[in-house]
Amino acid sequence: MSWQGKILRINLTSGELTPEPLNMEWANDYIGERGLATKYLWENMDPKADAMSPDNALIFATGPLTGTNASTSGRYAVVTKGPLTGAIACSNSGGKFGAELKYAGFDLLLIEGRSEKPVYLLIEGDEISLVSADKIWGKTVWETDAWIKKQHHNPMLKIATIGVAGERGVRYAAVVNDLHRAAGRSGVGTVMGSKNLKAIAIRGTGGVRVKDPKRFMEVTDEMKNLLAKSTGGLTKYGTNAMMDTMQEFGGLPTNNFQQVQFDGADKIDAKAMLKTDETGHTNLLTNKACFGCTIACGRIAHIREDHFTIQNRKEYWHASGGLEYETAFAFGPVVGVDDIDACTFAGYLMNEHGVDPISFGVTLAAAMELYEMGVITTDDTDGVELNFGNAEALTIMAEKTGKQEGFGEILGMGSRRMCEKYGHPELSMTVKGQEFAGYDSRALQGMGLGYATGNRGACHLKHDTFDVDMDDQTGEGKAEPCKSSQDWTAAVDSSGLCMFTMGAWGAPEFAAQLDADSEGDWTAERLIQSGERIWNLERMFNLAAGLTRADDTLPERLLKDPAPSGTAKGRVNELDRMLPEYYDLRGWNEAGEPTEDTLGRLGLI
Amino acid sequence: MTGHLIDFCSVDAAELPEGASVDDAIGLLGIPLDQVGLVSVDGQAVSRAKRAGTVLADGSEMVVMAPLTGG
Amino acid sequence: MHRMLHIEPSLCTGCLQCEMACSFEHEGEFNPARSRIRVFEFEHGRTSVPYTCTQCVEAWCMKACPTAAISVDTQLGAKLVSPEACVGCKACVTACPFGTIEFNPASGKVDKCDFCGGDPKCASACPTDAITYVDAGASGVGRMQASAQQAAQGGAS
Repeated sequence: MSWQGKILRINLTSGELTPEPLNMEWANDYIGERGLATKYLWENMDPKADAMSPDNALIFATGPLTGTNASTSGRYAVVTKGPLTGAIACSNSGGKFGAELKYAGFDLLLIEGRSEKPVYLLIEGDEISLVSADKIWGKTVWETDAWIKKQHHNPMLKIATIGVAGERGVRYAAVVNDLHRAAGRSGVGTVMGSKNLKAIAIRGTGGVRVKDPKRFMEVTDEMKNLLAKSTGGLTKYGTNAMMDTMQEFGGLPTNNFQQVQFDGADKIDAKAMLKTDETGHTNLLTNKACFGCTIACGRIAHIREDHFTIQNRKEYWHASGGLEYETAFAFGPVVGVDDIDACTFAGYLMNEHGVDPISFGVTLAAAMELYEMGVITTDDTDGVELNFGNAEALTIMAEKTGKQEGFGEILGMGSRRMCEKYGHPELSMTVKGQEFAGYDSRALQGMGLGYATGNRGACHLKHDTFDVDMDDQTGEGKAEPCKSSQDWTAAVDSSGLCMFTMGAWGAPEFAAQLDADSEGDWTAERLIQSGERIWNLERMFNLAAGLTRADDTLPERLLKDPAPSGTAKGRVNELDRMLPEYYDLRGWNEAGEPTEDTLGRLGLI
Repeated sequence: MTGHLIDFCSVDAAELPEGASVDDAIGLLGIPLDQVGLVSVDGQAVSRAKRAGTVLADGSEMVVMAPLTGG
Repeated sequence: MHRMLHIEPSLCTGCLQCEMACSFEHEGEFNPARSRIRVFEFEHGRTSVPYTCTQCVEAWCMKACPTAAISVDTQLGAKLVSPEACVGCKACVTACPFGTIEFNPASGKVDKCDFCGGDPKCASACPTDAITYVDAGASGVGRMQASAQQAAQGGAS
């Protein structure tokens, strides 16, 4: 019921493809997707293994609701040990690939070892094989997608692939599926490349059944009606609707987090995407949904054909994925650029070459600061003037990083390694080596705590204290909402559904859908407790990998340099105050380790 | 107004009565209270608890911000 | 009144709820591969178009069938396949110029849109009204109305 009951173990070293029964005990304890993948990771590798070695395991996992008609049922997780951070890497994506994996009869793919030669995994109905990727190694994401579909005469294949960035070890390479959706962060694409696995192509011809079909259809209908009432601006504006809010609030990281507001924000925000210019060009063309999604926050955009980036490059004159908030932040304020076409083009390049835009943008921002300080010069940067605000520098470096040319090789290391190389580690705006997203921790205190304690490094998607942070700009009372939202988000991330439903659906709504779908009784309490279990297992992985309390911190800039403007002007992040309270609430000791009591309560020992 | 809040607003301009509070102004703009992330007056944040009690002066700038959703 | 499925691609977001609804109705499971309606994307998703059988009045599939397995439901105007008579020869699949009748390897028969007996599930599942079930004699009215409105705004002062 809801599960196909089967996983595929792929040993790239030996070439063996072995279907195995899904471990239902783990599925019941860890829900699915992120949680289930974490458990499989924990049980199938040594957390001390090198992330780029054959001993790292790479897992693609669906949730119990993936592939059903619940709204937003297209999600899947990619979980591994991250080469950017040395911590657990759990990335999440939408599009169509996840549902297709379920329809092909598999709940999860467990990839081990390393192939001697580049290969891709092909699943067509019940035919599974590893195929030589010699013709596509070196091709872009978009070329690879087209080539595989043509090669197998099957336009219905859904493809998750890496670009050259992943092949060549960019530390934050992404897995891109369906052309412009991605498991973007933490270098999950890098791991795929290190295993010489170029792509996974799936055509599923089976179906997904649910425990109680009549009740399920009624419940999902009801939930869709509820969702329709409160998607906020997501359908019309996409997530970039937040840019002017962040600007007004004063939490928009600008010029490598030196400022928290950006003059050019109104040139690249959601409203700018809707403006028609004097030539009749409008950036945004339409919105787009992932599989099963009734919100449709995706953006499809196009670039002005006479813009410097593409005027002589007809191959980029087509439409593709447009700016969502993080991409707009990473190519806008954090690097000081306010050219919407340049930002959009850089976004295209990220999808085409398979690179995380957030880590790239914040790494470039650090490089710009190094350049403006005179630590690096045009001798280092292939002659490109890396000043904040230089749109050409942004797009040139985005392409160099994607293709791993010139200074792109340095940028591809990520800001932590790059700043250490140049003797200025303090300029790397990261936690555990992963770059921040577009919410400044001095303005949003609880977000700062979440960034500092996030299991995959600085990540804005694993907790949600936005509401309390906007209402109260101090660190008071932020530990509890941070912890509870971390636990709850872990459950949502494990369900197969998208976190953008969280504004409309709480635990009871998720439980109602799961309960009609999956074996056993699913209640709100069970979901929340499972979320806490998942969070603690991720923590255990990190501790076993060698991370400590010292890694639960924020860069000096956010702890010492006050926000220069906005509603949180004068503030720094109050981590020192929040962290001990957080550990206490978590049932962890002062070293940030879960106590025996806590582990026992959660069934982790 | 930021984000999608403009879509709730049916007025281009409105007269605020003397002594109107932040909440009164939000009501006049047609924005449902659960769609308000934060309000600032002249650059200072006004917490939820203080909105009803914050009176707007002539010439004040009030910004109503949409809630943040992540992503 | 004969109705038809009116497709408005500009409203389609590519969510595929229609494919799940159709397969659930006919197969009891969520299986887009067996949906009789399919959504096609062009130019990286700039355009998404659901497509299915348009219930031709002079149907190629009906004429090609050697066992008279395809008949007309006179009330709905739908062309229906009788599984009892169908032998899976796929002559209809070859004959249909639109590709909207498909062989089902699991059943050995062909599948096509049958309007779900008069309550098409794809239309009720569509969150954006990209698929609507309308008077077959007036499916263009929506667009005509939009054009009329534009003309009125442009013309009248």
